[in-house]
Amino acid sequence: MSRFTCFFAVCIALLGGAPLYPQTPPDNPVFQFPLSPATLPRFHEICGVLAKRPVTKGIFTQKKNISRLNRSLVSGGNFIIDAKLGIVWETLSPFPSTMAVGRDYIIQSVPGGAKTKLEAAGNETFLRLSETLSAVFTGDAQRLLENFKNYFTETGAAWTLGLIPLEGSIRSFAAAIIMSGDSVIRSVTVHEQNGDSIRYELSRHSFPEELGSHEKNLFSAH
Amino acid sequence: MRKIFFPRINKPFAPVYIWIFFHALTGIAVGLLYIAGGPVRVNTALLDILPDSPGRKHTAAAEKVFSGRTARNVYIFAGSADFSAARRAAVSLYDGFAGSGTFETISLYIDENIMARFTGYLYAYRYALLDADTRNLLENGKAREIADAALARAFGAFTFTGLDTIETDPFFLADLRMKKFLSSSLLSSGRLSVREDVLAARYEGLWYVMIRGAFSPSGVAITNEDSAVRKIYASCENIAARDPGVRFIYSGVPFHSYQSSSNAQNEISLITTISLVIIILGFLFFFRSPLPVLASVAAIGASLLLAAGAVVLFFREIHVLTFVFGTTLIGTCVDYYIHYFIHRKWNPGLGTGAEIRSHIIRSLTMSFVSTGICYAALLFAPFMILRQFAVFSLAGLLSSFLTALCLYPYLKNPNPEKRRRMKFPAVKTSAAGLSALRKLLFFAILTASLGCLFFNRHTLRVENTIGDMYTVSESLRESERIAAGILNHGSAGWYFIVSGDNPEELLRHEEALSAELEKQIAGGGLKHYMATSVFIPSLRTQKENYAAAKKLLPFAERQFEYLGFPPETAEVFRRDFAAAEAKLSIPGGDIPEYINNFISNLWIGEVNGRYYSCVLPLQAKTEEPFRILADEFDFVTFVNTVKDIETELDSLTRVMLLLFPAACIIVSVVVRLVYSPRDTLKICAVPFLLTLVTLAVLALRGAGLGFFSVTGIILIFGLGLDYMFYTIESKKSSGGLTVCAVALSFATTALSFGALALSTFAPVHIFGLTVFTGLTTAFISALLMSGKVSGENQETSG
Repeated sequence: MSRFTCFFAVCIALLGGAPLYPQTPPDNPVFQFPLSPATLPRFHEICGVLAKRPVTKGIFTQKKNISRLNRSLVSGGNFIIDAKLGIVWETLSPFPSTMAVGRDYIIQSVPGGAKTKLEAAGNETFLRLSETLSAVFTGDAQRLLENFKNYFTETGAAWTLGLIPLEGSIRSFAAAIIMSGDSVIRSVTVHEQNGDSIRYELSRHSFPEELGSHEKNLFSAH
Repeated sequence: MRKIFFPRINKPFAPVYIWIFFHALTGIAVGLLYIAGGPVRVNTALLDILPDSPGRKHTAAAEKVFSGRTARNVYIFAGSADFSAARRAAVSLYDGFAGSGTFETISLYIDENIMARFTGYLYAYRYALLDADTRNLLENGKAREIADAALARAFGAFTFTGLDTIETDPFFLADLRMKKFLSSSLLSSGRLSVREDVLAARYEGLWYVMIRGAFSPSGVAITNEDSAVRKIYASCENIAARDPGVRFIYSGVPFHSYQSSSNAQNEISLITTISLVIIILGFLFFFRSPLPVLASVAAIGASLLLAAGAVVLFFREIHVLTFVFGTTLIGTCVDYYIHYFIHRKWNPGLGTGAEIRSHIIRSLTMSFVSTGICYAALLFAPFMILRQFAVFSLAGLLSSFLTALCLYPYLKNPNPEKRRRMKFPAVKTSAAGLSALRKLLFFAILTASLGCLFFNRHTLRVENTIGDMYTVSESLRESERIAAGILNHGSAGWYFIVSGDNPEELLRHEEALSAELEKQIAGGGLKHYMATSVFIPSLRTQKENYAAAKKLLPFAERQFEYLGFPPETAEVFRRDFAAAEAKLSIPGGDIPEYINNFISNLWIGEVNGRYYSCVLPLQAKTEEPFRILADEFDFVTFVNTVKDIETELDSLTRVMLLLFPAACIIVSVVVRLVYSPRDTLKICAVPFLLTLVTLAVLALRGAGLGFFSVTGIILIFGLGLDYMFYTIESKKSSGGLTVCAVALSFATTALSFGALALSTFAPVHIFGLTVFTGLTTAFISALLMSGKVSGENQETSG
């Protein structure tokens, strides 16, 4: 065997060795309600609704909060969630850019700039990240249960799902995730280790049967 | 031709001083060595039996340092269908060894702050560590593109690093560098990822939790009670016994060394015990007295001690496999004792020990000289193990030779009435009939061998395969398969050694090689590579990077305006940039600990006044372009140890095969100095026949002509001639008595080498098989070819 394998372990650690999520989850009421046998059927029902749509499109507003600097960066654009291909965030303003997360790759591009593709094949951490993002946005109940400690609460038709990743590799990117919605996902907030957070508000949902060629091209590095 | 006369030594007590001098000298020298040079060691490392890599002597020392650092690394995976059980088992194992002297380093848990420290490093050196693409853009007047991309990144969906340093890194240089690391293999993780606080992977239906470590020097001593592998196996067995669902996977050189050396030790015990028991029983049966047994055992003990002492004197260590080979010494040494005691017991014509010595001195000396010459030839072999074996055997043989001639004459001969001539069964065949039978047997053997060689000629090719020298156990093979599947790193087993006069030049040389490797990556011939300079560029490159980064400064105001910072932030940024000019990263500097650990693996450092490092290509399609690439640089050496050694061994084997006929001619000349032309012809015909038969057996076995089999052939050339010497000498006086001694000595020698043929260690097996076959052929040849001895020889003997 190779003498360099220890380094690979280091690399993994680099991606995944971030601090565990703070003992106290974000100040959100949902974390008072761990998923229980009583709420599990409803959790499955909601995930089932989210998962049954092959494609979900809409627009998003993103707000990145930098806690140390007490500043926010706000942007907006279109999103695509394709159960097979992955997820696209097409930021339109103030500075356009696109990010596509597929099963085993991440593609980033800016207008006039070349697309850059990060291959995740052979990189378990990337695969996990991609898998997790996909599970979150497509309502893959089984993967959510496998990869997160789940919290769930519901008020009327509106529900809130709290997710704390079990794996350190995912926690380094997202210490906790809070989703809310009704028949669709309305918002997703990702809390980072350092106290920063990113909040996505999703609206104008549509559910086409399949993507157009331009949209499919967003998942291609060419 | 004038014949060489052998002296009669009629003073039986004088030669004892030779024996005492020789043995005492060796003992005192070993003692002085121990006192002056510290403890000697028994080497148990399997890889140490291989020769130094050929053709690159100047980097051999650096390679040795490199291998020494990494050869103690091990990986242990605790597996279970349930992650919690796997983690529990790993924790239990880790707790048992953490802080013990078994491991130099051992780790299970992941450092909580490692990510923060790494991104902190990239941030601290963000100007000096620019990636090549970013620098190219800057140097080509495209700073604006980088500034725009940074804004898109800030407002986009995803960044690789946090945004909390945005006021001092508004161009996201640290994020760009991190992205480059992620897109390369450098942060590839195989199937492993962090689960809870450990590294884990799900593979073939089981969860595996990884423990990695490096054995301490005492722990890596694989054959004693401190053996880390032995302790690990015991501990894992206990854990698995408590939870039957748990299994352990082991990976690393120490596990293989342990397996091979354990097998070797078991085989030593087995071979030695069987050889000794059979020889003792044979002696007791033949001599009907315990004295020859006791005297022989004592002599063998002295020979083995002296042999081991001589090896230690020359090599300061003794390899465990030298003992395996060295057990054959028992059979060879016993030959001398047999000849002495046979005449002592059965030859009443020789009244004293001195007369016995005078009677056998010529045949024993010829035997000792011819065997010694063949052992001495092994001193020039590139295998350390064979050189040790040669010294071991030469010293052991000399000890036995001196014992037989210098000590045994002290033994009082039995009473004359107890010494009677041995009665040999009468052969009721005419001399002509016997001659015809001999010829028939000779031609039968010749024809069978030639036929066998003809029909199996395709197997007779020069071929040395290092991989075949060690047969990995089924369980360890399965362990390595799973470990490779989990780690999935793509190392091809070959690499580059880069050198430089100082660390800075070495890093520059690495960068020159890296530029060529990048071309290979672009061409699809290589997926990625690892090098120290990827993490720590040369100071020249870092300064050039910093200079390139200056081109971002004009965009600072615009950048901060878009990011919502007040205008004065740009001025603060410029001051910070100016202060960063002296911020350069150097090996051993404040780089993150885990990265530093990794670099210390690649970074070999100073060896013999020059600096060396390793550059490791990963997932390359073929190695040939990289060999050619290395030839383009004076400071780059391509290293594929296994392949290079195999090629070198093939060349050596061919040379030895060519030299073998030459050696036969030289020995023939030496033999002719002592014997008549007729006897010389008989003696020299033996090597031809035994080589033919041995090649036929090797062909049947499908073993090919490897270094060890050819070495064996050369050795039997020396050993096999002994029987002819003894047999021809026997014709002078003692006749059937000496034939009987030859038969007994053949039995003991063949027993020793035959036992080696049963070894599971392939080189030992082939070596034993070759020598056993050759000796058997030599013995039969001696019987077939011995006719009436020439009168000329009668004259030369006493």
